[in-house]
Amino acid sequence: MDPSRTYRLAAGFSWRRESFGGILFHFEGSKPDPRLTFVESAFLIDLLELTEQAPLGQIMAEAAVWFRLDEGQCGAMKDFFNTLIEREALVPQ
Amino acid sequence: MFPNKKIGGIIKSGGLSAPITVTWELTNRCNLRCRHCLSDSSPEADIRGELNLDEAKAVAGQLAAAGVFQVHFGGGEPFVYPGFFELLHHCRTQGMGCICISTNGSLLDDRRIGELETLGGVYLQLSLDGGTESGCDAIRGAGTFRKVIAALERLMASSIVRTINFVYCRSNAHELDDVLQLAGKFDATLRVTRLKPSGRGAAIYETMRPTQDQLVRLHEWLGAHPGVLTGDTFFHLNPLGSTPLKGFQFCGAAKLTCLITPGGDVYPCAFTQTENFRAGNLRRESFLAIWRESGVFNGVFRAGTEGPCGSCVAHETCGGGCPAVKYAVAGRLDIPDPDCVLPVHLRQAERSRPPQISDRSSQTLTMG
Repeated sequence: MDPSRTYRLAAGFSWRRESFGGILFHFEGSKPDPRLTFVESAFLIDLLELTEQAPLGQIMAEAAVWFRLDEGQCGAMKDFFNTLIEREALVPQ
Repeated sequence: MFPNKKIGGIIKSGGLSAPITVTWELTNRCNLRCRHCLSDSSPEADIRGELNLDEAKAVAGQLAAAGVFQVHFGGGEPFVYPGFFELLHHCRTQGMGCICISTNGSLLDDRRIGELETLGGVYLQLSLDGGTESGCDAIRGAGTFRKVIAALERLMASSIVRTINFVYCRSNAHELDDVLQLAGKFDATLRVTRLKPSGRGAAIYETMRPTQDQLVRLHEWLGAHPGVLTGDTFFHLNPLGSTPLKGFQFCGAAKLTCLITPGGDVYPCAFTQTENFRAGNLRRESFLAIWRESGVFNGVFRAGTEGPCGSCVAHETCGGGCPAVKYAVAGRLDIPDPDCVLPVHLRQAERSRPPQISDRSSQTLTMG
């Protein structure tokens, strides 16, 4: 993760909101079956929507301050983005 | 994010705002007449009343607006539908990211393959119900095997992702290794489903359905070949092993997916096309209204499992089997899946035995 970069959803990925948060859908184009990721938090989906607009580090820092996230919540937020970046679902712009 | 085992609860408790994928049987017309066709398609099928291209485009727009991630076109043979490529391009311009096409493969010439490749984001499922010419053609008709092999050869020059779809029947059960070898030869993934009593498959179900021994052997075979896809077809076999088969452990009908027929009727899945399971019609109602408000969808298909399956010791691993097969065989849902291989005395056991489910913490699932 490069906190100074903005990120966008990679080709083949799409997402939508659900009552429990949201779903990421991934058709990578080299395997026949798409994959689904269920995201339990509407808050994380809100942040995901912002990744193209501001550097990821700034988004996480501001979210931590504005929503008074504790250490565990900050860790979960960071893990969420790290996972998406490792899976190349989120790529630098 | 949710671990796998919670996802069923999420979907059952609230329901999704829209399906993940929609299966759309565009036409009942087909240039083949396979013995087990789930939709009773044929060259002479009556296509009066089928959605025309303008109506189909409007439906595609509704699906895209609803957030449906994937449309899975089938039939009949979708390539005989007039304006099929125009509809595919319309889906793409509407923002549909992933398009799957189930085809018998016999019409896949170089021009069509080229158009699909240009379109992008498409994957193909080619039906091949045998690893040998005799095994396949006994089910799908003379000459079919060679046509599909020719299509697979043509596809080798393309980057289009493809699967070979194999319907596991009594007569071709011994050809699994052969068809897997063919899949490898043509850079295709093998997808195995079981014969279900739908369409013309209903008439031959009792004589062509896999035997219990074949189903048990299949479970072992699938365990030894984790790259083979099964969809949600064999989850009723999960209690046999220490590790569930890939994919979801419950029926996705009306929860993750649904079916649109050539005439615009909406059903929970392709195998539940009976009047009492018809959730609505797209000429009269919007897609989302049907998905969210239909009594059929919100009733038995999103409720807990009825009957003995609900209290069976294996319920957590198999989800109660396939409602469509139950209904087709017995006209009711409160019976065990007719293909259940669990001994009766175990089905009736108390829930003292820990369920044989692996604690898969992966948050991402393959929709195999």
